[in-house]
Amino acid sequence: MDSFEYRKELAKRVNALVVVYEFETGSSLKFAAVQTALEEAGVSISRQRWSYIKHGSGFAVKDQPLLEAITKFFGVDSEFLLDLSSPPSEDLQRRIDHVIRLRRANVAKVATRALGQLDPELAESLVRAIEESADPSESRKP
Amino acid sequence: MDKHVEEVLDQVGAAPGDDLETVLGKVEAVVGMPLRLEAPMHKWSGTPLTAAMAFHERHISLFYAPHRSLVYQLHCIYHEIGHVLLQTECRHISKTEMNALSIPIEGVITAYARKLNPTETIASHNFDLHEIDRTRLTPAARDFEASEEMVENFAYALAARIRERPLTRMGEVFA
Repeated sequence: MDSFEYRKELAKRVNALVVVYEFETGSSLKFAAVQTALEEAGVSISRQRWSYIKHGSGFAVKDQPLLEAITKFFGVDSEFLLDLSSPPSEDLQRRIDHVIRLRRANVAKVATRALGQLDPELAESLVRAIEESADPSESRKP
Repeated sequence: MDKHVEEVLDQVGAAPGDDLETVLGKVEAVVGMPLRLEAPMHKWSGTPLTAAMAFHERHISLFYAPHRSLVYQLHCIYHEIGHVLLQTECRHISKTEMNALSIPIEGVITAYARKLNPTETIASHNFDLHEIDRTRLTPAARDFEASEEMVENFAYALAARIRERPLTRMGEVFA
């Protein structure tokens, strides 16, 4: 992968994580939140560097501790950003798919009351129930 | 009680004797959007998922798992109403953090159950709110816990305001 492809792929992956984050938390991800969380993990990041990563511009960011800290912040396997040829984990792929489906149904926010982790089947059941509860006029065309 | 929770409850105007339908109507008036209680999710019975809500473009859907205790079932719905009204936002937490939280959150829920209604045993485990070691939680996990705690607080406070009516009658809306 040349530098251009690397930057574009990294940006694509980080932006996918941001989209999932923003949907799951119902809030937009501010740079300050990223910076604070990374600092807590002992890694510093400048606004400019975050911008390079997100836009696939500037220098290719290959700093391993930084990329690891970013994956930790998003709660995904570090492999996802450290090896850009690796596929997303099943869990992450499912989360991305769910966000795409819920966005297509024009759902702005979801909250759950769960006393523990949702297994994939239960998460699928939740997403399907939400999709079915959308009025046809509220859904975007696929 | 959290002042914000109290203010929101005042705004809703829930009164003794209100049934769920009335409460939903009052909440709708505050939110300015139709609130739709969806059919019970039988698939969720006995799973960790007790209730959920989704903000659609022009309405809000509330989902719940049927439960043998109608009081508990209503509580789960009130919890989601709390999310709708309080517009709680939490920072993203990782899977590890979520796993670490599963017991503390249950602890918060049962602790509040005991605090507001000490004679009723809602859950099988009894954790005390003070038993939660918050220092072991990451900042994101603490935010998450605080947000859930506030919504749980809301659910119990709402029930406390309307529970002057016999509990058995609260289940009529599900009949």
